[in-house]
Amino acid sequence: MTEDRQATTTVEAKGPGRWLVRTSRSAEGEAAEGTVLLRSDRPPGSPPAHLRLAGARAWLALGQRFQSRSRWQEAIASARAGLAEIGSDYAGPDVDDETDLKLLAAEDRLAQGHASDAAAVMLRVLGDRLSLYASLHHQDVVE
Amino acid sequence: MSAGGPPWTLPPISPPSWLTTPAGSGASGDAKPDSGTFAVPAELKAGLKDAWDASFPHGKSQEHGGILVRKADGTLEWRAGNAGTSGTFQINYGDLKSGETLVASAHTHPYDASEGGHRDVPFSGGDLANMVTGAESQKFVQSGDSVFRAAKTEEFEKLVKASNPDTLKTEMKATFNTALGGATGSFQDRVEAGVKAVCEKYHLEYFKGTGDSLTRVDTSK
Repeated sequence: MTEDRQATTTVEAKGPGRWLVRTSRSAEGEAAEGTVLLRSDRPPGSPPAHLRLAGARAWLALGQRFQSRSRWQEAIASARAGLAEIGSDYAGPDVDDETDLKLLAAEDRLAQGHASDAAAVMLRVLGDRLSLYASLHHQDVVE
Repeated sequence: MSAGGPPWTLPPISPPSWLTTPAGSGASGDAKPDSGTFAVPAELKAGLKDAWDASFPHGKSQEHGGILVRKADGTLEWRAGNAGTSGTFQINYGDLKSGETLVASAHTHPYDASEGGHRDVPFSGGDLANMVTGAESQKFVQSGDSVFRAAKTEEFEKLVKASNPDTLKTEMKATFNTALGGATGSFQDRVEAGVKAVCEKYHLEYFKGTGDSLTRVDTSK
């Protein structure tokens, strides 16, 4: 997959103590936007806090778009990019996390020729990890 | 050594809780020392059955689980937590009440058709690593008909006290992933290779089985 690295990021005030971080990710001529609404007394720095969440959300949106068009390989590549961007520090200590094994199962499905299943599982794991990340950082992340 | 006895004293010995469990409550939820088997308490078995039965809503995997508590009167009770996601479960530690003891946490490992439909999938690296900071002394997973148990040992507790928890967790996950990546065979075989490697290196007990009794697994093999 060809990745466009000309991503732009903006920060917009959204009322007292609220900041909307908006970024985009693109690949194969397609682009998608991801946002995160932050709670802070001061403007976010540069790069803004939790940009990884906005970026990974953009990858999720892009992957889901590819998935809806049955472009499984592009959907898988987008899911992998989102998983890489959100990283491994996304869950609190009370969460028993088996998503690594779900990704292993997805890789097995891909190797067996079931790319649509692999894409679906990877995107679902990405979505779950993004939810966990937002929950872990709920003091900063409004939505 | 001087006459009249050794120069050291032994601390008072308390009977293990499995000896003091009230009669009629079935298995205690605590392992007998040096035992090769573990009797699954009826309360846990029923709770895990309910959790497993709820783990495929609309054909899609969703983890369920809960905690096993010992109430002030000595009896065990299963407390189900909120439904998790396909691959995560948030342990409902907050459901433990004052005066109660946390005996175990437990959750399911369901795999729907899109995930290969696997059954009998034991612990993840994250499950085991969480035992570094988790309050429970033992953790269970149900997947299909199989029940898996991981339990802390004195050696594990000593290791935790001597380590940075985040570092230890990271090391345990790395050990799991290395063993899994180097293993061959079925999905379950590869996952179990990770479980055995972590349990062997970090001194966790590992049991598995079906029905009422679990058997200790030799993690050195």
